[in-house]
Amino acid sequence: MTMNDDLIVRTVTRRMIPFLLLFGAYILLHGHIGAGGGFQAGIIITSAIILAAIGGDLKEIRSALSCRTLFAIGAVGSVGITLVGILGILAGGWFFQYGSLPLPYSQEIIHLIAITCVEIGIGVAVFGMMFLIFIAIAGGEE
Amino acid sequence: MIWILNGALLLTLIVLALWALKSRDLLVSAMILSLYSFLMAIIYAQLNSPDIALTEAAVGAGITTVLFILAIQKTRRTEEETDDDQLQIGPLCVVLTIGAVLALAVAGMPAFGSPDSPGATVTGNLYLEEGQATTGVANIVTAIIAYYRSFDTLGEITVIFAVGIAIIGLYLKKQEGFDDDE
Repeated sequence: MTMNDDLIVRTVTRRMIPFLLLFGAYILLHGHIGAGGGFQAGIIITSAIILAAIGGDLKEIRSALSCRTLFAIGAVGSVGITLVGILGILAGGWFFQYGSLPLPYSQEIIHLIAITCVEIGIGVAVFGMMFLIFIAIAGGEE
Repeated sequence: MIWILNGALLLTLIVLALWALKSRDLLVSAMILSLYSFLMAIIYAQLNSPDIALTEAAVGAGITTVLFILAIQKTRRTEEETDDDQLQIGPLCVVLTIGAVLALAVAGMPAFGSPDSPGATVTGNLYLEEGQATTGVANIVTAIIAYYRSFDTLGEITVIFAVGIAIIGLYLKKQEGFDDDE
């Protein structure tokens, strides 16, 4: 899959990617208010980058996001969630008990912060691994 | 009125599923499954579960279709013509038996939207009553995912992590460029 020659595909994908990324960020950061959360946001951001790979140059995306980088991104997300859970133990509570975290806020704000951290971790992990699947299938032909 | 919409959607789902099954062109099947997921997302949204609808639309209609089409591009698009189209009695019996058992199991489930279902009487109410006060999160689904059931979420993320490891181990090991420093 080289540079896509179709002008329409190239233009439309290039115009759509910023909106998709913005929508992904919105879903990620507003998961505690409206519909959505880390998993959906990770998938939407992955779709945006896949669109970039289809409409633009797959090789360019591959060089920017190599398999090693993607696996590292996914691993950072996965380990980050576990660390948030372990922080609960270190603060004197149970695993994933956020209430005892020593932050100068009220209980529910601490919960909100920890939940948002977990959501971001899920999003990062899903993005890394899903795009790794895409690259593994699509990028093998060179 | 809503029953007309629901009934039409569910019937369309069945038709689409059969069409995807019978189609000899795998690309057509992938497209129909994408459409199927979109209709499923509409049904979920209509059942007041926007989180699931969003997931179904993004995963089922989006990523899965892309992966299917990529896989078809890597292999072949059309099925081979075979002449074993006649009914096979053995598998049909197995399928019908399992279908009958499942239908019996459905009869034992609580009615659609029943206030007496376990989800509405046991744990669900606790989450709904305490959720926002405890976690400060307005979306109860997020509160359950990231707080009450965070162990489940950790398990899901472990599965995704295992997928990444499997891809690295099985697929990319033989590709050049990944093991460049060994």
